[in-house]
Amino acid sequence: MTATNLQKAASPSSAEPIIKAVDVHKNFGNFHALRGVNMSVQPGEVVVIIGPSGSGKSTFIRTINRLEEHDKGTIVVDGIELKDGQNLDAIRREVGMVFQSFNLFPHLTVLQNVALAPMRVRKTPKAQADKRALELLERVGIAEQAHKFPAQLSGGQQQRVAIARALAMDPKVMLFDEPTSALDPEMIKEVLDVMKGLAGSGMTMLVVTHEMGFAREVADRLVFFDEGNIVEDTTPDEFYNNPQHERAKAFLSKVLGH
Amino acid sequence: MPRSTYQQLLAVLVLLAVGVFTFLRVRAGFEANNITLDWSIFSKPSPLTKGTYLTTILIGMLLTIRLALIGIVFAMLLGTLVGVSRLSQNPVVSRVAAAYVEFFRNTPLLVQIFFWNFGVINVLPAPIKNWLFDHSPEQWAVIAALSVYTSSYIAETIRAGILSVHKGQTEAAKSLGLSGSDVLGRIVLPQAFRAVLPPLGSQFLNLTKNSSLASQIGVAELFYYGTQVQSYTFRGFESITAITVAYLVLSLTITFFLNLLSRRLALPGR
Amino acid sequence: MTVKPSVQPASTSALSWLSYLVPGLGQLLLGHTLLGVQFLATAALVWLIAWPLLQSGAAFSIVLALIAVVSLHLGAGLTAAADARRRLGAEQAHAAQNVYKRWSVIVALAVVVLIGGLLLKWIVTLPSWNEVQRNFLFLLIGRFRAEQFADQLWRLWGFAALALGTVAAFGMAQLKIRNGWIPLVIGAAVGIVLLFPTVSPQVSIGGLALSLILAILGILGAIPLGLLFGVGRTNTLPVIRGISVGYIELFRSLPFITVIFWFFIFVPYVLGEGTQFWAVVAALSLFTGAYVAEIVRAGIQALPSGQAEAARALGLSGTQTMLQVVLPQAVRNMIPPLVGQFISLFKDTSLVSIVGLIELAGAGRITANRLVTATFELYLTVALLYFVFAYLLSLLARRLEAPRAVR
Ligand SMILES: Nc1ncnc2c1ncn2[C@@H]1O[C@H](COP(=O)(O)OP(=O)(O)OP(=O)(O)O)[C@@H](O)[C@H]1O
Ligand SMILES: [Mg+2]
Repeated sequence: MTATNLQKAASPSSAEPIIKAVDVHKNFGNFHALRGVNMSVQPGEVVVIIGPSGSGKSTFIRTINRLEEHDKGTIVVDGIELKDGQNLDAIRREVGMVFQSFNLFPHLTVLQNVALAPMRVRKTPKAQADKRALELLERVGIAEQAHKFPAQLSGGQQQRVAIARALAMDPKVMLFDEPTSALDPEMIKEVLDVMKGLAGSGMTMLVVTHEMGFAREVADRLVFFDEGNIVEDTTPDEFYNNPQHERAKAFLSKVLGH
Repeated sequence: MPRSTYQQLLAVLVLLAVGVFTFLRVRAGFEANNITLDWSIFSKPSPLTKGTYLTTILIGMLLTIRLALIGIVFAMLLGTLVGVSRLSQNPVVSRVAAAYVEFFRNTPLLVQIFFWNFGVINVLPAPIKNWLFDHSPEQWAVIAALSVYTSSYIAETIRAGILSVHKGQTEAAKSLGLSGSDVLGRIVLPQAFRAVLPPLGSQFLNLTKNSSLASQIGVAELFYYGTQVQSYTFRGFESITAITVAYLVLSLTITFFLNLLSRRLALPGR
Repeated sequence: MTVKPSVQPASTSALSWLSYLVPGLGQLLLGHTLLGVQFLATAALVWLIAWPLLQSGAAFSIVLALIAVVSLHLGAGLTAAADARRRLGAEQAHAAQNVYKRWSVIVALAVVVLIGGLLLKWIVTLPSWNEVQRNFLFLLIGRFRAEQFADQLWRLWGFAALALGTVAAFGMAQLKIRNGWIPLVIGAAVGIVLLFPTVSPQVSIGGLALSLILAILGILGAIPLGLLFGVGRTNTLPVIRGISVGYIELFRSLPFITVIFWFFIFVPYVLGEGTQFWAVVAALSLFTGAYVAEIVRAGIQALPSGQAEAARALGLSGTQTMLQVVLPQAVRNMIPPLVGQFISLFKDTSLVSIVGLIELAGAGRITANRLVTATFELYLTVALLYFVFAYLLSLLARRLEAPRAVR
């Protein structure tokens, strides 16, 4: 693998990156959604991704657990290259994902939602899986709802269950695709608090979000996407105070209203 | 008295008036033609089956249920195949499936029964034809017609059921690392099943009612036995009443169980 | 950085060319089990049909068989080769996807052409089509062609009036011109005036024409019944709701064949002799009315309850609310399922042949009994005649539904 064009994307204090994307392209029919994205993420880093609608943020993080297949370029996650014929499930075990629309399984209870994957994928015995699931639900603050069905919970509670569900597989990386944008304002905080706790515990996180407060408080890096590519890759404060690109400035003034 | 009471009284009066008028006209008609009613025929021995004429009707009900059960099994198999093909990525496959659905939905069942019974059997190769003639060809024609006709409705139900499972469900399951068979067996199918069962139930009810057309090519079931009772006893009113009550019992029983089922399947909170 | 070695069975990749010989084998060796099984099954089917054809010596059959066999083997081989390259990286995977998409369509098309072509050829060359041709007019209009009706034939222009009215109304709706109901009503009125004497006092017309007349009369009776009882079912007064539920559930629980027997046997006692035709129309109307009532109810209940509440808040009475606010809005939602119900009704008219009316199914049955030899051709024709009308109507229903999906 040629390393020359990776240099600028990798952070200087480089241990081995846990995610490494090189020149990633993705087409939807004739639409070029990703146009040569380069990014590498160190273990324990929290990276916030922002950018205008349609800029390819979701598409990019979905290529990292191969919900989308990229058409060109390479992606390596925890030493495994994402390509055809690989053991996909092995990669997906390492990478947890939280969706904007929660996507809890409506026909299973909260506890079953969390315990299902460990039991089916890791073959954890039921008693042990349930115990761990309860611990995780405790951690996200909804252990008492364990035996309800998803439709009986509020949006914020559902999203916290979704986080617990992803954590149950002990992933090395967590991907968040706008986890709070389907929530009412009063519920956003409870989800962000859980995410902050997670970041504090040293989890590697890629978060698509427009919550600037969260980004400035928690993120190590901030990446700005525009038209299928990364146009800015700095710290949140740097981005906030001193955006380099016109598009980034325009975007900031729209999001923050200044 | 409040207005609503007047309205209800009026409705009852109109209904009564229609009822009484019909009753009087029918009675006058019966008297003019020397027709009397005799319900005791149902306790008389029947030359059609074992037991009395009542037993004949009951056996007819059983045969109808049997026909419906056989029909629904084949219709489900065909319908699932066609419904899944309808969602195929391959445009040729999905269009062939669509053509199947359109053709069989848009032709009357009775014509389809005739088509299988008088048309297709006629043009089959001789060995199959001979075998069929020894094995009640009408029965096979009716089963073919009922299951093909019903399958064209079931195919649409299955398709809608699969589509009703949100794409995010598969994605969430996949991103947890669940294997392909687990995604299908634990996440997609249980949800599709819930969505599909109630409409499938009403297809079964329709199939039960539609099976009455089997009588038109002489396959024994409820309606056939009912009309046979009539031609043996010359008791038209009594026979058709028996048939009607029997179908009502069948339909209402099925409806009852369907409601029970969908209440069982309902998830709390939605 | 270390990249864990991926499982790369180079030896099996090289074997992908086997699919040119045995379609599906290459895919199976590459681990694409589902594709492999699909190709194997298709190959078995194609060869089973093609083998005897290739030996038959008939040019048409040989050409069909060759097309199918060649595209099958070519498609299987090319996709297997592309699949073998998939693992080399993202670009190849993308290219392989395109190869697979293209060739799966070509192979499926070849199979359809093979089977469809054979079936079509077989049907076209059936011996008795001339019999169908000779009786075709009987299927369309029954005995109406006979000498005694010769001076009545012009009445069939009534159908033209009906068709014109419908097309005009539909066209106006598409072009968003208001009052589309005017041509519909005029067309229907002219049509009914012209056609009425063909069914009254005696039913002289038959075949497809009679089926259409029955369906139109049936729906004309069913709509008021459906409105009455559908609105009744949403009523808060228990007696009115009870009566409506009773009517709807009774008729929806029964097969149409029982309803038609009741009416055929007992309506003459109520209305006098010679009323069988109207008994049948009444049966069609009452039966369909129950289903229309459910459509009406669904249409009303689909409206946000705020509509009725707002009207009541303005001081409109219950009846005024229903007639002036709720129903006019609900009617828009009701039209597509109503067309669907009309199709069902049109199909149900085939059952009246049982009580001796010679509509399309009855005409088919009579002809088939007389000819004995041409039954397949005949019933196929009858089915196709029903199909053409029902399918056209279902296209109409879909057109009416489409704009709502966008909104
Ligand atoms: N499955 C798909 N088929 C076709 N086009 C798609 C598909 N998924 C995404 N796109 C297109 O790709 C582009 C990038 O989409 P993406 O969802 O990654 O944007 P985004 O940055 O996440 O935007 P948002 O903030 O609205 O979520 C969009 O223009 C979208 O229309
Ligand atoms: Mg997005």
